[in-house]
Amino acid sequence: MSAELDPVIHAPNRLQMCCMLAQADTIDFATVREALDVSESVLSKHVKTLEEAGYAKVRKAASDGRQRTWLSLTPQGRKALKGHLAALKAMMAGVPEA
Amino acid sequence: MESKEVPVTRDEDALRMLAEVEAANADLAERAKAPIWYHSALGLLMGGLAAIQAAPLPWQFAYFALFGLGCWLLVKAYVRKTGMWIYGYRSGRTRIVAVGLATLCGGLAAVSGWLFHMKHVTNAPFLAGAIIAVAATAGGFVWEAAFRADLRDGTGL
Repeated sequence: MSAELDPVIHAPNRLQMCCMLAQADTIDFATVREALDVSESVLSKHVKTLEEAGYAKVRKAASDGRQRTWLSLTPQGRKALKGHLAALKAMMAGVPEA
Repeated sequence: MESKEVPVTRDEDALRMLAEVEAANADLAERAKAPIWYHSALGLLMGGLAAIQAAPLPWQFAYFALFGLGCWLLVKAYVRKTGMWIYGYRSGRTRIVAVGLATLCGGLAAVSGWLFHMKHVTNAPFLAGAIIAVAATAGGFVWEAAFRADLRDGTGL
């Protein structure tokens, strides 16, 4: 696992989204949007960025009579997140305790 | 709200980013809580699988269909409340709880079936069913606590 910051994940919203997706199998788009407190268009852009990097998968499925969008992290995305978090922790080595 | 790209890589920024990770995990822990009746319902369904061994075969098949329907409804209820689905056997502490619970319940069901069919202990499936119902209900809450602990220290990625 390379401990380097990943520019795709480094944006705060994308980092939070990746962390959420890494802990669950799949999360509804609306739930992620509510958790991050961002607009649909902003979240769509982040999702597209992650999808284009091969880090996230998007699936549309009908549920309770309406179309919902489900997001999940790919194995590649999980690996990138692990590397990114390891890099952040390594950088913290020089930070004194608060 | 447009998020800002963060090109800086100073130690303080790393600290702030990790704090955001912690906040995201804490938020997820709150959202992932199942409905209060969820674990009891799953426990009853699982206990029923052991208890139904005492019934004639047609009733057993009918119960299998009911069990499948019940599980499907539980998944739907969980997803509707939380907006997500989490695999029970995900890595981390949760896997230990899930595997332990599955082994305990499967073992109890198998032993009760053996006692009922081979030793003619007629109340064994009911006793096993009751124990499984309680164990699965308690196990569900233990699993949730394990999930929260995994989120706190970043285990299970």
